[in-house]
Amino acid sequence: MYALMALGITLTVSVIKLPNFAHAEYITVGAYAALIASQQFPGNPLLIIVIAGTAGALAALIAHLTVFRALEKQRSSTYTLLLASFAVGLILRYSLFILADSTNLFDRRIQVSLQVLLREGSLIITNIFAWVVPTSLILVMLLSLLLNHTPIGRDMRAMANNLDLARIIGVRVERVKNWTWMLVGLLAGSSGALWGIYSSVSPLMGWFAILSVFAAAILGGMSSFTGTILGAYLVAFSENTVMQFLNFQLGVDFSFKPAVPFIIIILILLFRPQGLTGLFDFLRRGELRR
Amino acid sequence: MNIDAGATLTALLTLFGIYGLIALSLNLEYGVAGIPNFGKALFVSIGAYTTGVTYTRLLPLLAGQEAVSPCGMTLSTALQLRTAIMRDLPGIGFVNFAVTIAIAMGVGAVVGCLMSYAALRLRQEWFLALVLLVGSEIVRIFVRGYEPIICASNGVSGIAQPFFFIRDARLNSIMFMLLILIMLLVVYVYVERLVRSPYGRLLRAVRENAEVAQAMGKNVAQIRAGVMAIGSAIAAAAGVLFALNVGFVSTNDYDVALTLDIWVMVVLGGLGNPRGALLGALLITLLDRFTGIAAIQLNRTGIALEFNYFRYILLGVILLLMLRFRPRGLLPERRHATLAYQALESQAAESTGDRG
Amino acid sequence: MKRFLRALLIAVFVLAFSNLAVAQDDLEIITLGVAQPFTGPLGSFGQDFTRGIQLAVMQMNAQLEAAGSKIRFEAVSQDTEGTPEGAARAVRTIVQTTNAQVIVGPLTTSEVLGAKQFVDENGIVIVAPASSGVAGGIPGDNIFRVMYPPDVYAANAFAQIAIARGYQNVVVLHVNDPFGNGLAEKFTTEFQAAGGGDVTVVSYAPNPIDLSAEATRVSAEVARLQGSGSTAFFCVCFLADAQKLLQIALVDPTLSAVEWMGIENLANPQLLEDAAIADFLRAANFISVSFADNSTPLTQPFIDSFTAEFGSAPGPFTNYAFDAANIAMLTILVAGNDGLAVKSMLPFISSHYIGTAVQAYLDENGDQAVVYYGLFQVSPDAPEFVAVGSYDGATRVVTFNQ
Repeated sequence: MYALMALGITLTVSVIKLPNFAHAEYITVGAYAALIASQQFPGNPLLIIVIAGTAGALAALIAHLTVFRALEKQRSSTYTLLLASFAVGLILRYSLFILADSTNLFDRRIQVSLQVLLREGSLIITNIFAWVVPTSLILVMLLSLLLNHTPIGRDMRAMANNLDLARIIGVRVERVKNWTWMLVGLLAGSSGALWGIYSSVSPLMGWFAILSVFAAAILGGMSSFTGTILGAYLVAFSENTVMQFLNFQLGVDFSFKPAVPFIIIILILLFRPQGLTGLFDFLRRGELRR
Repeated sequence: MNIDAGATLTALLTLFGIYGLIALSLNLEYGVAGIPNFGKALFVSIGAYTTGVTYTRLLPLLAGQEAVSPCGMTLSTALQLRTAIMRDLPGIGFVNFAVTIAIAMGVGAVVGCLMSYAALRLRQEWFLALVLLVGSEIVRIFVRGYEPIICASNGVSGIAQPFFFIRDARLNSIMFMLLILIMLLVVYVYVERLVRSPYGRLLRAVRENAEVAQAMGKNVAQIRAGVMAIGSAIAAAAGVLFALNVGFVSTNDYDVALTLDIWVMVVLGGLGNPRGALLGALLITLLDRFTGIAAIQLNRTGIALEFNYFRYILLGVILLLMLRFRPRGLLPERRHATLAYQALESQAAESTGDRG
Repeated sequence: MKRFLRALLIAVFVLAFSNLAVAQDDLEIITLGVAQPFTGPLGSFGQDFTRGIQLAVMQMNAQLEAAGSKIRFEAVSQDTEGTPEGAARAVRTIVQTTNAQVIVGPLTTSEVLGAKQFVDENGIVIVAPASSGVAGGIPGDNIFRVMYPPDVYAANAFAQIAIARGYQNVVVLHVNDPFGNGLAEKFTTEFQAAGGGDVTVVSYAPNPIDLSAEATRVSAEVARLQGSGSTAFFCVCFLADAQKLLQIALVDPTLSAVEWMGIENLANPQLLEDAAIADFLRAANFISVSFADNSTPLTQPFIDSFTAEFGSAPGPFTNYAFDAANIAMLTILVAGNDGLAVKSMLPFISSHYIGTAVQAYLDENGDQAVVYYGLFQVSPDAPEFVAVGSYDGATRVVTFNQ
């Protein structure tokens, strides 16, 4: 799940060149759309995920058209955009609070009952796992197909590489940006839905996770998909396994757990800003920036 | 409807003073020197945590009494002890206050310096923003989980301001407000002079183009470290005042939301202009107070509990509009012309005049 | 832009100072302050609490009108943002804007402590209906924590339940905040004082993204302690966190084999909407405590009138807010709208008030001292919680129904 959320960040940072903190809210928007959809159409996870993805995509597109496009036009600095993304997040977050308040939807879980499909020793496959993992994989695969084998994907890669050059060779930058934002929102929204099935939905869910998601994207080097996916799994792994190790062996309290992804961010940015990319040659295949 | 105008004004100016100090420090760091300090809450919290430590450990020692652990079973004994000292021994209260401010500024400056060296290693400009943001969260999580500092997540209460010995609550809060405003004035004059000085020009040069400054033989790393140290010391001092104003130190107060509030103030007021920072702090404090009072008026009529959410939405909208239509703030940076530059300008004017 | 800002500020200013209340000259309107978190992680509580207080005010005003009194109450609320500093600001704003002398709220112990300095100095009284943290038990201050008992009692109740059920060891998972820390610590001492064996405490940071590492640790601790006798698991966690934990526990062989206890928040029917979780909790012999088991004549009337007024059933803890508002108003009626008089009168009044769950009676810290919990388990036939016994705080004894 981190993978899906972090992929969106990687895509924004590399194509749009914007560290977007409102990404958190696209996730939450998706989760709420899924929650409401699940009450209308119970027992249809696929439809729920599609609706969530659409809601996320819409939120991202609207935010781009109303806010970010104008700011980019006046050549604002990255910090200005960063700040604007915080503002967009603030607006979306509290709009969701109003929604949650009027419909009494705080801390609800999207009701998909957990069933164990397969139990082999320590390997346990549940129906939720069976939904979440393939959905993530399919989305990631679709994404890489889109990027590597379609004209729009080619344009995105061109923009990631060199925006001015892309403009000169006739890439329709605005159209590609719109598509990128929708894609980003789709990823965020559907990951929100998957997350809501796994735990529970609240207006602050995205906000609490966003820094961990950034950690995953940064670990992945912010430019490569394979790297990002790997980064996401590493962050999830280290959050739990490293913390577990520290706890069992050294007695470090779990209260410190949220600090783990943050420490990863700092260490990576300080000592290996390119992330995981370039560590192994085969990782280069999925790269946006060649 | 009976608004206590005097008390409202006192509270407003107290908050303005504290936020004004923090906004001034950010304005110096980002507005003038171009360092995106998204870890403002960290430096403010340093001041607050220092306060928590000195008021529970140092204060009893200064008063010649044995310090009692402020956490756990002895919580209320320790609380009564420090309240009694602040009530009855004003001199010791002031000494403790001064020592706290000094320690907080020292620690703030050192941490600020250290953080600025992180900047050297960073590849992309917004990485620094992220490192500072994340650094402030790490410290918060650490203090929240580590008991010896401020009793972990329990916090420390009964942190009284130095004028607490005056029994009249109205009078002592006015005295505290005056103290804060005097500190604000001193810092403002200092920052204003700093911005106009050659050092200020140097800072702007580093902001505009670090490579050129480097090529001119300036030590960019040292300059950045210096300005971070100054800014962080100011923020830590403000943190002490922040904690004293609430009377309680808790990690819950120093999260990303505080940093964002300060950023909104600085962007709203004007980057690179100390007066802008003060204006921004004033406007946002006013907005906070008035929306608060307006909320009370509205829910008297039994409607609009959602107004609380609109406050945040409003803050977001204001920030976006500012970024869009007035990216340099309400009071933009003034051009600081040196004598030599003025001479050049007048020469240029004369020569064009000759030709005309 | 400048014009827009100016217009905005003026609009807010006018709103702030215009008098929207329809004041009738011959009536004396007394303001009851309400400070609650409407935003932040606890935002979901604020709305319901405020409604509970509004209901109390409406009922009181109707009675006053019928009796021909000239006194009316109004409730005005302010957002604490869930932070201590926000609480301090909220209380200050209410007092300075409306001259309210009594504030109902805030929710958590750290918010209460944030507002403490201001109220102590200015002679304002806080009546907090849900703060229970051990850190807030301070004698002689202006803070009264009515209705919801301090965690000392919950800790004792769970310790007694654990002993009655024959647990030798307990593994506690608790949220790392003043509430969770205090409860876990007290539970340990109470359980061991009552003859229990080992207690292992695992804490987690507030608002976790997931709890799988914590769950692994708990599971390992349970497995370890089971070597020396029967072991139970005690969840001191919020509802959303419990949802996350349960998803992991469903497939964890150790956690699904052990018996569960959980704090009051978890006796929430929302948890049982998912059939798998209902089955799990039933199998885990899950037990929780609650006040909401019709223990006074006021309980059902409160639920009925709340539902009639607002169209939905009151959320958890809402009845305590209702009671706190009533105690505050009764005290004001007797002592006048003066903080210091209210402070000295409030313990007397509250000891003569029948609450919606239990009678209010305060100890020397100004904290609730009459405690009566209902014990709840998942019904064997349906996904709902049913009462299985009770706990009396005076005798500190649990009794199970047959």
